[in-house]
Amino acid sequence: MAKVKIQGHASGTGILTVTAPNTSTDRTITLPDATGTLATTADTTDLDGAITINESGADVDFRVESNDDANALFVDGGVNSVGIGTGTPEAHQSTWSSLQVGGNVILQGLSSANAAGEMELGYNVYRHTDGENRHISTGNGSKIYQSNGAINFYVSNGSQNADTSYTMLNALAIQNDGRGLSQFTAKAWIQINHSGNSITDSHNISGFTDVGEGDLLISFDVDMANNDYAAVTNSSYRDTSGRVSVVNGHTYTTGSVKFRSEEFNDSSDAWYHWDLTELCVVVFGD
Amino acid sequence: MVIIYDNNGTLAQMIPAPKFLAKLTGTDEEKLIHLANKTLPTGTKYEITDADFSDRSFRNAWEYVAGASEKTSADLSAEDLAKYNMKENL
Repeated sequence: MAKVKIQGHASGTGILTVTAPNTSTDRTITLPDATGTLATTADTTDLDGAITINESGADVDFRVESNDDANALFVDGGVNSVGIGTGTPEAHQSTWSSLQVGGNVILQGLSSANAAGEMELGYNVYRHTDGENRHISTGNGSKIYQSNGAINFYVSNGSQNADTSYTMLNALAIQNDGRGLSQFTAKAWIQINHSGNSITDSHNISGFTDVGEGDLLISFDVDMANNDYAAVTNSSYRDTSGRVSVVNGHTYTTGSVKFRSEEFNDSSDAWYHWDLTELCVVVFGD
Repeated sequence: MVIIYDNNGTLAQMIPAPKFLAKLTGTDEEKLIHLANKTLPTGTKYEITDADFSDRSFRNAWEYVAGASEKTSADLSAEDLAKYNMKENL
């Protein structure tokens, strides 16, 4: 095992160590005759080992160019920030780590073999090798998880121990059909012109059925998970007569809910079934 | 067009939501057949019509009378049942 050691000038510190390969094939290392270039653009470098740059922690920058971007990757040794597409990442508050991306930003993932690919952006959460969620350190965590065109917002469901499998709470799921599923978003809504038998606008509604005067039924597009939901209605006011009305919901099922609208007639001092022109329903639940 | 059927001796008419129809493919009639299959109990007799029901006089006395184009609601596919979260039918 031959070794060649080249010692620089007595006042310098550069040492070059060359280890001969265990092969009969010649290996050549060409040193530049000027400072600063280890390989020309025509050369390739294949580093096959751990690499540490700026081991001393000096206030120097590290920069990688691409064809059109002088700062495709930039490590600012002075402000301790990493830039992608920017050579001037901002200094950040201590205890924070910073990755700053310049220009318009695209962060995308794609599983070429499966359009229903997944993507996660989490804090204090990692996906263990067993596929379960675990916290990096004991405490709270959260993550945004995208799968099959849907986006799910998970929270840690209370403080959790580090490296312990648990089920995160899916606090908000935006489905690929446009529905927002949570305890605080409307599962469905509709405005109906019952007297005109038309739907002004709606969300997650397949239609409504005119059953009789003042009686109707709305049907959901995607059904509710159970019958324990809340269907909030309006009580409209008829300008032409000044009469008030009430809308009562009943017969809650996972696929539909019925309503009866009535109007109060002052002259006869009685309630009558009435087809409202602006009957609104908003549904919350599972 | 609307779907009409008998509801305990009174005519019921189902008005489809435009946004729901927009998600479906096929002709208008095919879309309404799909809606009928989704909404009406399997085996319900119904018709698809573009008749004018704007005059609601004596609304509660309207009756459904079967016509030549009467249809019968059918089951949805297992795939559609899952899509619509219709677990009670799976």
